[in-house]
Amino acid sequence: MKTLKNRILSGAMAGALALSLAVPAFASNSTDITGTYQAVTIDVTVPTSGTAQINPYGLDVKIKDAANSATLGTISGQQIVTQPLALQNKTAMNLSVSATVLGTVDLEKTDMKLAAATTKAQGTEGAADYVPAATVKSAFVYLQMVSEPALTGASTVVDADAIATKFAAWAPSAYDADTDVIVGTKAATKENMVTLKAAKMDANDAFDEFKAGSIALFRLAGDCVVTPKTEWKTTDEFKANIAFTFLPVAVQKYTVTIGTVTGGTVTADVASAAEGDTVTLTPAPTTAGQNPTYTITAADGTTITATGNTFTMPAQNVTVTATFA
Amino acid sequence: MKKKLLFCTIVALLLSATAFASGSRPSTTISVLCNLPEIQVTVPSTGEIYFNPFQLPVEIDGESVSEPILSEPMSIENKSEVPLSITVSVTGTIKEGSNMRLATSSTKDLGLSSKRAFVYFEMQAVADPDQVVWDGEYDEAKHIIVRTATKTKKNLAIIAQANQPKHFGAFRLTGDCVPSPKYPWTEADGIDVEIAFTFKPLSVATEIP
Repeated sequence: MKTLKNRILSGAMAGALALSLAVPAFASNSTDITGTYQAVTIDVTVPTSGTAQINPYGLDVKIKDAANSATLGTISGQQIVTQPLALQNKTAMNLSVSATVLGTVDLEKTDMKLAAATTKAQGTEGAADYVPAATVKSAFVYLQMVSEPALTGASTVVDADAIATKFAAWAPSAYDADTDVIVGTKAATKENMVTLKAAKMDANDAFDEFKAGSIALFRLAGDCVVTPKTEWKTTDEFKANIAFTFLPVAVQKYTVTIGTVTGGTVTADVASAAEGDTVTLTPAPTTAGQNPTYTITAADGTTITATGNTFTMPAQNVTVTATFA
Repeated sequence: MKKKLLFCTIVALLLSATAFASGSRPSTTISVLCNLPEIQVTVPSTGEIYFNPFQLPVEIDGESVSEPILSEPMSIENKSEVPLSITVSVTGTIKEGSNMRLATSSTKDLGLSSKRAFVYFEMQAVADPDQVVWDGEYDEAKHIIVRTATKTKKNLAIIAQANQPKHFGAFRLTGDCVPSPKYPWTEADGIDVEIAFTFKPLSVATEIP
């Protein structure tokens, strides 16, 4: 028979037991979630230095291979000429590129100026809005950047030669306030000058090769006074520093749909892919030995050409149909 | 637990911001230098001028000519990569012992009796210095009168870059003189003419007139 003391003790023990039981019972019903940071590694090859020329008389300037000085092309008639420069995205994500540009003129060496507008005459002479050509020794210089979709493949393929050759073929274009940024002695920034497309990564998420748009070319372009009051000298020079900002942007993926297949089946290695990705199709004919003829149609009706059993994904959804014969 | 999860999320955000900030400002410094052409022009160092007051036939470079003032045709050749604008300065010096004078206008048909010669410099951009069609008359806009004081004409001619048509600048001294002055022409009469050329490079896109 339990005494009151014993009852109190046993009650207390029961309570203690219940409490001790309650703690593990509470723990077993909870979810312990630990957030692990997935490091975002931006890997873009940016040249630390470059060279350009003020070329008042529009002389032919040879584009050289930096490695062996071989001539890869010639730029003619341009007054501001840059040797090949490129940004190479080795990241698994698209990157929006912004640039801040600052020009530096050493006034102890030169009396040249960086102009805020073209040095050429504007408008028709005699018209109210006519702006005469500048006469002081000045150069109007701006940064241009363009994605180069033809530069694809491994680093060994997209080498300095390949970049320089494309660079030499980059047609000159006039200043565009929407896309270019003027080099002045006060820093100027242009957001989203270009989007570098994600690179193709290998099974270990390491850089494998450049996809279409993973590389962008950039240059200084512009004009200058041909025959200023004080003539051009070899000591006339300036420096332009370009600081880049890379911000990841979502990789847009597009669906791959297998449509009607006659005489067998076809499967794609992915259900969706980003622009520039290689999609691989696996054919399985009902009758052994038959080969498929693919018709790959983009959402806008464009036909995509297959190379063997692969095709390059466009920037839209695609439907694959096939006939075995 | 919520706090823990929330904490993890904050850490992730902080880390991501740090990652972008630390790796997102690489820069390129471009050194921009001035690319200037080397000016290379072949200029004859000497030439000869003849006074021919009686306009006798004289053979120069295989051709018979009978102008009152004659100089052998000369030319400069542009071997540069760029067209050149040419400024010319001309200074005449009368030979010691001569009593001739340099006139400031043509002496033709004026019936002058003083021993005067009107000499001027003419230059043209040409493709072939042996095929020059010279101006027939003095033109103030295009020619320079030879005086004892230096006379300069800026941008007198534009010649093309090397290996392009009109990359030669053909020039001569020509003019007239009083045929029968009071004191006849003698071998002591003559002038030395110094011609100084200044070359200014132009854009390769310049159209050569």
